[in-house]
Amino acid sequence: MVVVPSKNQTGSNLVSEDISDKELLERFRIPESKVYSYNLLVRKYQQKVYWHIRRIVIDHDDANDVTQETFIKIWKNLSGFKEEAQLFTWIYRIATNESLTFLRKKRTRFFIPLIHVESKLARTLKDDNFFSGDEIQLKLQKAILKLPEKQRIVFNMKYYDELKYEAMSEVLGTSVGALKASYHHAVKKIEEYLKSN
Amino acid sequence: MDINKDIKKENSFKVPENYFEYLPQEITERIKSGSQSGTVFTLRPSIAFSSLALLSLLAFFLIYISQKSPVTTDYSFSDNDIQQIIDNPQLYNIDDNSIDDEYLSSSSEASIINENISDDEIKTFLEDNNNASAIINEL
Repeated sequence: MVVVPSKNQTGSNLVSEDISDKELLERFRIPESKVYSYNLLVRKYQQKVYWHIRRIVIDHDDANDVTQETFIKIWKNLSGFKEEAQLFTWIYRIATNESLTFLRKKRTRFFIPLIHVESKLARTLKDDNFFSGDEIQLKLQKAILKLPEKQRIVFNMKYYDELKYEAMSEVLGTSVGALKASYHHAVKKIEEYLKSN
Repeated sequence: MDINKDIKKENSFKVPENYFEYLPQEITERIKSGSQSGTVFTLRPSIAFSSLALLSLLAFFLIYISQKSPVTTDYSFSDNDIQQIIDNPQLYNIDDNSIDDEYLSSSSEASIINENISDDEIKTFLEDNNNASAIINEL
């Protein structure tokens, strides 16, 4: 399987960021360019997907596992993608579901009560070699980890990924109004936490 | 505090060097090998080592506890035991003298008894200490 794009396979030297989702999907449906277009898709979305997952599962190794699982699922299901939703919201939905499934399995595997998983993740942040934030950034992450699971995801998608509520609604299957309320409550809780700590 | 004004929006998380260069290749390799969720459930060396250490500690603790627990005595007799006692009356016909002899022979304090005391000395002692409480105190 080819990872690096080359002229020989496609007749053009496209950079993954340049190619539109529509073109990616068209190429994916052609057997000769299926693998190549999939690799372009991975290169185009890997960072967005990884960072989205990383903010949910926190640990790099976990995020790496879940990211790989997400892209394997995309490979298996992309042929059946109907284009009723946008490609990136479909990818985000898979990534979100994989992350939440991972956290639930982690709770079951280590017999950790629901409320303690996020506390455990917050504690590991301080000694995490792959976390470089200063004191205020660490506090912010701890405040985010205090939020309920769904609210935490809504906050991350709006604050860090800067997604529009309409796109978030497609990903999470929640109404725009509910998402706005959720984000508003999340911000208030975080600000209160930062004030009192 | 306003998080949009007072806190700089930045990504504080990091990844290993060249991580995104190699990620597509790793994914491709996994697809080629047909693996699904292998890595998600594989124990990492640190977790495996911790689990092993914990299990060893638990096993040591259980062995220690079992060795420290009091020895229980089984007071039940089998039919053979009962028959043996019936057939050997000396096992239950034990008089006080036998017990005294057994005690004196096994007791370390038996050595303090001076067997060289004569009968006259004993008689003199008893005459001088002719009340019972004095004898008891002497014992």
